[in-house]
Amino acid sequence: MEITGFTRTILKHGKPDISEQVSKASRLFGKIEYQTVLQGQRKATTDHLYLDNLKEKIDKFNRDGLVFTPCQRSGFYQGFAHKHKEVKPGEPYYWFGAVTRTVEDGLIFKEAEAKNDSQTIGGLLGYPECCTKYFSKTFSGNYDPVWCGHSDVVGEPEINILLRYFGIRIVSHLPCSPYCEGTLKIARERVDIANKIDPETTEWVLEYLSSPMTWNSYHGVVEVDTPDFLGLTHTYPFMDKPRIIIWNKHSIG
Amino acid sequence: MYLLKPTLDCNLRCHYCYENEHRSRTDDYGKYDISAVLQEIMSLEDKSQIVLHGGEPLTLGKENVDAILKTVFEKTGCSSIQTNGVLIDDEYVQMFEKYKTSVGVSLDGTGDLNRYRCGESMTAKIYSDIVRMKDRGLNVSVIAVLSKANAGSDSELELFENYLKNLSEKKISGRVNPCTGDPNCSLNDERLSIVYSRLAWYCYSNGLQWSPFTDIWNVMRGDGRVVCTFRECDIFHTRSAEVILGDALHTNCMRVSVKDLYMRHPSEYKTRSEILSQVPQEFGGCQDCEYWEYCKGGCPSQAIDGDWRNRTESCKMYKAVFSIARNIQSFGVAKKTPCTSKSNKQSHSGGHSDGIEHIDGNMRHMDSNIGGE
Repeated sequence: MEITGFTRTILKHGKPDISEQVSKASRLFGKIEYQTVLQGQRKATTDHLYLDNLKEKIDKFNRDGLVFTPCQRSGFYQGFAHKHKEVKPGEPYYWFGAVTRTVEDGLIFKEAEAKNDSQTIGGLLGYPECCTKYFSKTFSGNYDPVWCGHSDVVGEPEINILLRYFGIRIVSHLPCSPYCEGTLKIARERVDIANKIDPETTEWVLEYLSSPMTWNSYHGVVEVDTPDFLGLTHTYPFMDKPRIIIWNKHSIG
Repeated sequence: MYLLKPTLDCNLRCHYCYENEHRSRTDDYGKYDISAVLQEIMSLEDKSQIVLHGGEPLTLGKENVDAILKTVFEKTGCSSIQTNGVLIDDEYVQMFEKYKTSVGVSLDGTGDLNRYRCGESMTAKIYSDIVRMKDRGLNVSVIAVLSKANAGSDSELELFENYLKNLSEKKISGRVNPCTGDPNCSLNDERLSIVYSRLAWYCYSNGLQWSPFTDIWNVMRGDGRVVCTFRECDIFHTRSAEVILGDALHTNCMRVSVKDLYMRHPSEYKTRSEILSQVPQEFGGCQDCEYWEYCKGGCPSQAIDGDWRNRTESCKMYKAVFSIARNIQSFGVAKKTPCTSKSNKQSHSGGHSDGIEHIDGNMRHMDSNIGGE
């Protein structure tokens, strides 16, 4: 089943317009991704380069002493993508690649990417081993494996990935469960970094990720119902009935 | 089409009304700011048809109704209202004449057929007003909801057929929508198919122009003048209707916003069509359906389990009517073509440039020229 990739956020009547905060959260996440490599918490992150951002990004990598290793081309998409999009002749494309501190790590990443070696890639990206194994096990059957086996969750907001499609998130990987200790450790390190970059937005992100929400995936579209908006995006198509995850209200301790 | 819904309050509150959910969700459904609504009307950039809707719009009171119709008239050269007709009196009729108002009245039949809406004496008064307004030269159309009250038995259905015929003889037509808001009032799947099939035969063989039968006829002939039900509706950007609420904010057709009321998304997406065309029918989709090109899964507000990612729950009924229309078109047994009136071939000055009509709105009048054409 093929659905044109999309993300939409539909505001609820009488609720505040949070689009500016969402944009800030998305930018903050991008900065966290970068800083964790720059500061040595992990060996690699990924990025997409295209004609319009090529110079700006390469200049920044050079200034910071980082290396970009192109791995493969991907067709353009808007919003969120689960997989690389096929490049069609004559149409614009990105270069997807690894951003690392060393050339060696970049080359290892590239080779692992070519071999679909999730274990090596997960290691370079600093993901917990349990989550990398979970990804390897689930992704071929479901390319959006959100907390498989869980439906009613009271978790720590740092781990909440239900709004990742819209840019509101702390961690970049798919945790093996909403209670993964390895993920929580990484997430808290990332919150420390985020607080140094933009404490106000960090606080908003954590508050939002702790609020009650419902993730409902059916027929290739996931709806995430939050207090202020309904988020929609394309996803793995559950056919016979919706798969639902209820994220319960959680107080930040 | 813009649907102005300054108030969702209603003096009837029928059990099957889809707006009951909205009314139960908030106490603010009756609050409005008329000056903000008037300002919003004036600021609209296009001149699509603007329909004063509700709730029951006449509960706004004559001063407010006059102000709204006047503003719409000054902007577009005509105006429209959809009402249950209970409060219509001479003063309102004069107001409608003054502002060239097309009047859509919701009435499920005469006598006892309309019992889910109101009693027989009020029903008689409303019917009489419909005829009176038509006689005075106003554009009048009718929306009837098919339920157990008017189609639960064959004898009631026969009376309902006569109701449609009598109105048609007075050059009044409109829509026949299935009741979906209350299981106690709704016809079951089997009965709905029987009822719509019978009405389809009745309308096609007598040349009566009632939606959705005219729409089904049109869409199968490649004619774009089709109600929104069959037009790939995006519930977050309902093309056929943009609703303006009492606080002047914009939302979508309110049939589809039951759990929460969402603001209008700026862009229209075809996601539902993409899904339904690929999901097997056994899982709520339309894959390989012979009527897909015409139906596109039907109205999302009537989707199976209330989930817009499924096809309409009225699928069986629509398939039956599509089948009848196809047979008639193949063998040419219709008394006359159901949708060929001269004025209907034109887009009236109030909008509908793409031919799409809204299931809850004043339909484009098939027997008259709206807006001074």
